[in-house]
Amino acid sequence: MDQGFQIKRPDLVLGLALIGIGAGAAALSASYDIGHLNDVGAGFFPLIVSACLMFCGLLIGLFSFTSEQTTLVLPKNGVRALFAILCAIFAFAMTIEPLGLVPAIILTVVVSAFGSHEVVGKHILLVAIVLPILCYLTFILGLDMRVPAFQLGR
Amino acid sequence: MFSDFQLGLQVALSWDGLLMCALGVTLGTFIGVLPGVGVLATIAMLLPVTFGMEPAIGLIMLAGVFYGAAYGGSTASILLNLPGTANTAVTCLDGFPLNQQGRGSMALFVTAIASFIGSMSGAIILAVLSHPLAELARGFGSQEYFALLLLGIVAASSFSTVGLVRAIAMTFLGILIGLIGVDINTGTERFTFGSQFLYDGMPLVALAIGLFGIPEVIKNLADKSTPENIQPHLSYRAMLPSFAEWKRALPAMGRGAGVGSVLGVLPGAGSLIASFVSYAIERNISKTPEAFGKGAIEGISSPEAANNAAIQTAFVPTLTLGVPGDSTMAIVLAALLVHGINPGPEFASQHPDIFWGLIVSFLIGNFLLLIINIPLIGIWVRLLSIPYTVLFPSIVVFSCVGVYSVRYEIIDVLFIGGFAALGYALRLFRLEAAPLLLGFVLGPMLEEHFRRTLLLSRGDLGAFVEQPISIALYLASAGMVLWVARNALKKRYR
Repeated sequence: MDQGFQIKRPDLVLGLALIGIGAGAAALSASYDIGHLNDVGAGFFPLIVSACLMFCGLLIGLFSFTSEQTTLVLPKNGVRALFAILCAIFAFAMTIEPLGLVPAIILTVVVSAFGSHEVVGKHILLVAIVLPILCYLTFILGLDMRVPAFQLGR
Repeated sequence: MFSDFQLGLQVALSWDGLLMCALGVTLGTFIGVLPGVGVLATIAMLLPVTFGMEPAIGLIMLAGVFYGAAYGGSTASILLNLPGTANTAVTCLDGFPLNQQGRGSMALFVTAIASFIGSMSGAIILAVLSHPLAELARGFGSQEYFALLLLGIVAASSFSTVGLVRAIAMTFLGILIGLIGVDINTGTERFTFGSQFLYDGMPLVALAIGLFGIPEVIKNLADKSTPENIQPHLSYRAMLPSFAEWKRALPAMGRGAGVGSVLGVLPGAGSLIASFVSYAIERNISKTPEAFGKGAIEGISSPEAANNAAIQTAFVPTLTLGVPGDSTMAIVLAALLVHGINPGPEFASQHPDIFWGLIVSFLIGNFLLLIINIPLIGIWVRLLSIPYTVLFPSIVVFSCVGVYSVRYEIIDVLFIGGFAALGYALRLFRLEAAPLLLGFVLGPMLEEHFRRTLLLSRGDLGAFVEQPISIALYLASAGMVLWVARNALKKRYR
């Protein structure tokens, strides 16, 4: 098995995280106008929902003591894939406007390809050629997307 | 009513209607066949494409993907023992053994027929049932709608595989995300952190693609097993079941279609549950229950009919009540809302072109699927050998381009990244993203009915339990929670 990052008692962590998120949302909701029952304000409903979320977090956290202990293992391949794909999405976001659709797609394909544990050059080349053409036909010609295919700076 | 049907014929038989129906079912079969490309992710990726179309045409295409995928999903289940879509998972149990016995092509043929029968009965029930249900719902006020939405949420969470509390927690998180943006009643900005990009709320497409599409890719990349691929020999003679097999398969298809139609209408149940329930029923009533799991023809006929029937009848509550039963229907509802159409009791009479156009397109689409899935099955079988290293960069690119094309905002693309990380974290912590999406879509509706009930009753909380229908709906929700709690306790103390 590949050893990655581990979290002991994931349900306790999860419960605490949900309570944290709920508390944050409740604090924000309380800063809006709560109103009262015959005139419900903007904060009323989110406050209830936040309280419910915190209660669920509490239940999950408590149940974690009664059930068997499990350990959450973050697989190395998963971290690699997540990182590569986040980078690919970021690359797309940074290049679509200054460079245009085709360069952005090619860059996204190449960066995301490193998310797989096997990087096959032939496949990357194939996708990097076919996909820009396909997207150009569907989105720019077919759906009238107002983005230049190529562009040099703005 | 007949003139409405004629209007539907006009829409569905128009050039655009036919083209988009064909495109939808073909695409659906395509992604259904490919394991690791989910229906929800695909529908989310297609949403931006449909925004530019007529609402009826867009809906016809989205729906086509949905039921087309249920046809295609069984192909991967039978040939790879790997469900192409979640709701064809049961088909693996008897479909894969049949393939190992060299009867894979027969199994593919039978599941196509079963899907067709299930789909057709579901579509007919949708047409028949929508009118009386809409009549019933016409008298609904905000109290009833609040109770109904709550029941939908509780039911969807009760059937969740990760447990009721975990699913409900995700629903609440989804509701909170759904409340981001300007509150339409008071003009207060909620949870926007001062960002103008969140003024209109979190964009649905980025949320859905980020939570479903990308984490699926990451998960597939993380577990790197390549399944065994037994290619069946595809001759028409090998496809046909024997007379004795027909006699066992056909009644099973009928029962599956019945079970699926009923479960599809109920909020929260849906096609996945329908396929499991119908399989359990078949095994229980069979004279040879020991044959199940070893290639029983009833074991593929009934669930395939059931999941397809449920997919069609799931449109009943979505279109006639405006209350979606699961996350996929929530996306369909959201797509209609984007076009400014509010599904509800008046939907079929106000938008007969959409409603009847959709139903007629179901009939056409299912005939197309029969053609796509029986004579052309060879093409789809070959598709299974597409390497994932080609597929997944394409999914990433389509996600980015699709989300960007909605409103040309860079931040929306970045949101995909954020939700992808969240979605992957949810998977690691054994949580589901589907209830989150359901909460996201239903949250604002829930709040609106909550407020309106209190406004009309001048702050009297008793108004929530005034109407017999709301009381019945709350009791149903409470019953479900108790039932789940009882099962959980029984499991723990055995």
